[in-house]
Amino acid sequence: MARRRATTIQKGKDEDVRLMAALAAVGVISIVLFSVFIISPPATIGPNEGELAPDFVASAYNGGGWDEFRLTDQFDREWTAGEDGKFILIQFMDSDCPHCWREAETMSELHSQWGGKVTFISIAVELSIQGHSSDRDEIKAFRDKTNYGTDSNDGNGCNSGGSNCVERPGTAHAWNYVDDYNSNIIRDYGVTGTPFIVLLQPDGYVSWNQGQSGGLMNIEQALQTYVEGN
Amino acid sequence: MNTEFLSEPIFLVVLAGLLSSSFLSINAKKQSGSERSNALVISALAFSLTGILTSAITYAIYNSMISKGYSPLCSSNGFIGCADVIGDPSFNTLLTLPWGLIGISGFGLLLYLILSIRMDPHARWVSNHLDYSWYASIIGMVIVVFLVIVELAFVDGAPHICAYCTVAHLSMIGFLVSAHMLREHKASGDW
Repeated sequence: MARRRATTIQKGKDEDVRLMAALAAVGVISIVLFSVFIISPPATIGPNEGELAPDFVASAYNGGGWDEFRLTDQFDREWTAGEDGKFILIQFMDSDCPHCWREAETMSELHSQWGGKVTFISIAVELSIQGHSSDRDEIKAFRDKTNYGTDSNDGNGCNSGGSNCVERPGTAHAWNYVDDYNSNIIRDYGVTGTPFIVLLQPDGYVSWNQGQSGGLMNIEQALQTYVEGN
Repeated sequence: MNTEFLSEPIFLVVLAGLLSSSFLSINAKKQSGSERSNALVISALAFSLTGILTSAITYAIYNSMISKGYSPLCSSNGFIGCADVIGDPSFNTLLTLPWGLIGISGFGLLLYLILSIRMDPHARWVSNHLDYSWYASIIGMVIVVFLVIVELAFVDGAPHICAYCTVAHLSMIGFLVSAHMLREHKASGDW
């Protein structure tokens, strides 16, 4: 009777090794990530209340010329609640938006009342709406309330192109107007329409977002609550 | 030139990791057969671990720069300094993901591929994993070239060189070389 040869077949060894390698790699990554979170925990960045406002670098018109502007340069990282410090009001606006045209007067009034305690920043965007064609000269004219749109630029001025920027309600604005015609900032802040306002604490965390207030609080009330109440 | 970063202990650790990986890779050339395979695999492992560690440090620096505006791991500024590179909001993320996190994931994938080869060098899928390592490190090289161009030409106040980022980039180059040598060695039949 012939002897049957004993054979050993390794079943599934290859797969086991790859699974073990995957587990080891995941283990290494988990340990590394855990260590990073302990040493330097990530901040929650976003436009919502309680989140750290997204940073940006862009050109801004300050009344003299266009200079590089970085949001985090305005932050006081050491600030704690109750201490002195300048809050930051960020207004998203379009020089051709009729609501922004009307809100310009409110902004002038707010700045004269709160300018000592709040840094004002306007982010100039160009909404994808017919008649909302803008350029940097229009931003300057809107901010400074200068002649633009009836006897220049083929009559295409502010307020859907129908008004001379010099007729804008309110006084000339004395704060930075940031060029966001490439829509980078408006996208980071999730803004879909103008005007839109976000109020930041001096350390850069969002204290009030117009889109989250649900109409229960306007910017005047927000300034009273967060800046005056600090 | 600012050489302050050379006195930072954590930078010296990752630099030592890079130099050790390079030494292992160079030393492997002198060997043959399975010894050479083994030495090359270990050098690729060392490059991937150095890449993971360095990417983790850049991720920690990113977190600190975002929340505090500075990082104790990143005291150097000027031409060679990481703060100006990792702190630039226009270029320090890809689709909202910090580059450090992308680096950890990428080097983690390379670690898996090469570790599986180390654990069973004669498995039937080894050639596939070597090919995947090669293709993944080529993608990594494209990213490295993009990031170096960004450092030299596009970040705020360019040119700047981030020392930790450079170690991660060199780790990727080192892994690519090791993966290439491993494929050649495998193809030679002297595995």
